[in-house]
Amino acid sequence: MSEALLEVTGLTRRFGGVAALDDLNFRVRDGETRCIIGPNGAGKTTFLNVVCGLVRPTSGRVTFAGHTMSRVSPSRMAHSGMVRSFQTPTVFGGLSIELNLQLGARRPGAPEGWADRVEHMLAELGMDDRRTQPARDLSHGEKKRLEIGMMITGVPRLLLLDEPTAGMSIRETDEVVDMLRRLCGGMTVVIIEHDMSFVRQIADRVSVFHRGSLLVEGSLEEIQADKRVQDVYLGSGVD
Amino acid sequence: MMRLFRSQTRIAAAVLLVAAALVPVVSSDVYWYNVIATGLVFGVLAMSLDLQWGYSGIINLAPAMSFGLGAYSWGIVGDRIEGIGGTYVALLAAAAVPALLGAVVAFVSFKAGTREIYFALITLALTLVLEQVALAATGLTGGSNGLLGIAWPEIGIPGAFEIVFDTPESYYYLVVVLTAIAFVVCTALVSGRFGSILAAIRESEHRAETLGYSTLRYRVAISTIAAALAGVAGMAYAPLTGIVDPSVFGVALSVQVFVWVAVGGAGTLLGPLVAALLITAGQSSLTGSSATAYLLVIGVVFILIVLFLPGGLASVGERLRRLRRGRLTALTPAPPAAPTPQEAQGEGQP
Repeated sequence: MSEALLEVTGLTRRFGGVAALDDLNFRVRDGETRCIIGPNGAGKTTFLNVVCGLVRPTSGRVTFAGHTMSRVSPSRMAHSGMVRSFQTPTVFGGLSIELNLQLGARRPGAPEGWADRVEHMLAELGMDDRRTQPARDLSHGEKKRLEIGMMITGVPRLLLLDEPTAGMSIRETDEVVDMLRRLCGGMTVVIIEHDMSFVRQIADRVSVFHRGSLLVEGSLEEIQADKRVQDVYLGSGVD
Repeated sequence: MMRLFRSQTRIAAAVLLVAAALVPVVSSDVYWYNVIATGLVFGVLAMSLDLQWGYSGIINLAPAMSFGLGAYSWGIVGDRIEGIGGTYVALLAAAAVPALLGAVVAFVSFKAGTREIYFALITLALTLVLEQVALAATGLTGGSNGLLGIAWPEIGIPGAFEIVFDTPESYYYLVVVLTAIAFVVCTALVSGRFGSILAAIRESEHRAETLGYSTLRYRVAISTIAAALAGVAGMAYAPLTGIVDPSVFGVALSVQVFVWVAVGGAGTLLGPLVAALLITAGQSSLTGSSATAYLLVIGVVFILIVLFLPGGLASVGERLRRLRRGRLTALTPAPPAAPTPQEAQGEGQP
């Protein structure tokens, strides 16, 4: 079994009287693609916010690549190799598509050879003929793909994706699946996603969050068969 | 297109500065040397605000704070240390004191998570405090009377050569050179990787931060640089008026700087420089006939530009190009609609 690249222990985050994360324990192995599912309010996005340093935990510990990351800024987290996407596509709207990718490829901590990676990504995204266009002019799905592209060009160790296919057409979702499969080799990927067909195509393992805690973890088949999951999240079954 | 725009901007800036340098050749009117030099110095001040506001999205409501510190630096040091040494010490103080204050204010504010309007209010409060300090510290600042008889600067190498800028004409040339240097430095700053990262932070702080760019570090850096630039502009301003008084910290001046940047076009450098120059020249012309006419005209111009030309004067060329393209398109028969990227890839087909 590979080493855990990301491990959180006893992670709790309270907002007033509400515990968005409640003594959460979670670990992801190096090179794994993990999907996190759970009903609204399960704490999935708060989990990403805490892990990447945007939100401070009330208590608990985050360990990344063997280092405890307490009170570390998001930029420091990213410098150590952890980058994330947001539910709403977050690109630098006033900057060109090419510059967006350059900023991703040249992020602090990224390896050399950024120019080649940018060109490659422009071709992958099918945007090489629109490279000077401001990113704000792209469609929702294109912005999402550009955002993922920005992160992948920086060759992170851990990629955190928050609902990467939300609001996308079936075709666009397939493109994201294809993109992740082809370009994320060797990376560890943690994805929050509601689209079960996407999860089926991409996940090595699936974690189910419920009320800020880890309810159950396993293969999609194991998750689908779990009575607790069906009770709290899926109702009568998955998909 | 962007590169073309940039090169056009640089050519326009070069033309402007060469034209400014030729003014003493075609005119011997000392009054206008002074007006244009003042406009150029204000242009440097406007560029300093543009670095913060236009390029970095940081609203500093008191660009006059650093400007005033620079002016007082020269007023105080120039009076005490004569010759080239005094100029260099004052130049160092005029850049370093505002830079240090700008860095501390930015660091403390952004580290504490202060956002937009609250940072703006902090800067505004600070400049009001400095105005009161300038009024109270009579022994150092001359109080409400200010410092009179501001010295002319000298540059050179002690013992080798010295140039004293002790005439309006010679000082005018020094201001033109200073403006050119400021423009080149600012352009280099915003054109490179540093400028791209600042723009990225302006566009999305969270995106930049989660890609590994320390927004705190870059914001503090640009605030420091902008403050130093404004301080140097303040130092250059003092000999033009011959007096430094607490009004250099005033809110009125800070508001004017915002007007110059907004009218010229935030995030363009050249726009604020040109606007500061034109408005200062306009002010000098109009206040000769009526003191209120200037305020009325500039107020109306500002409102019209904000409403109908939000990109400022610098966007006029682009607007005209778009208008011309629009007219050409209207006159040309429409070609068959090009497929969208999704359509080209077969989306929506059975």
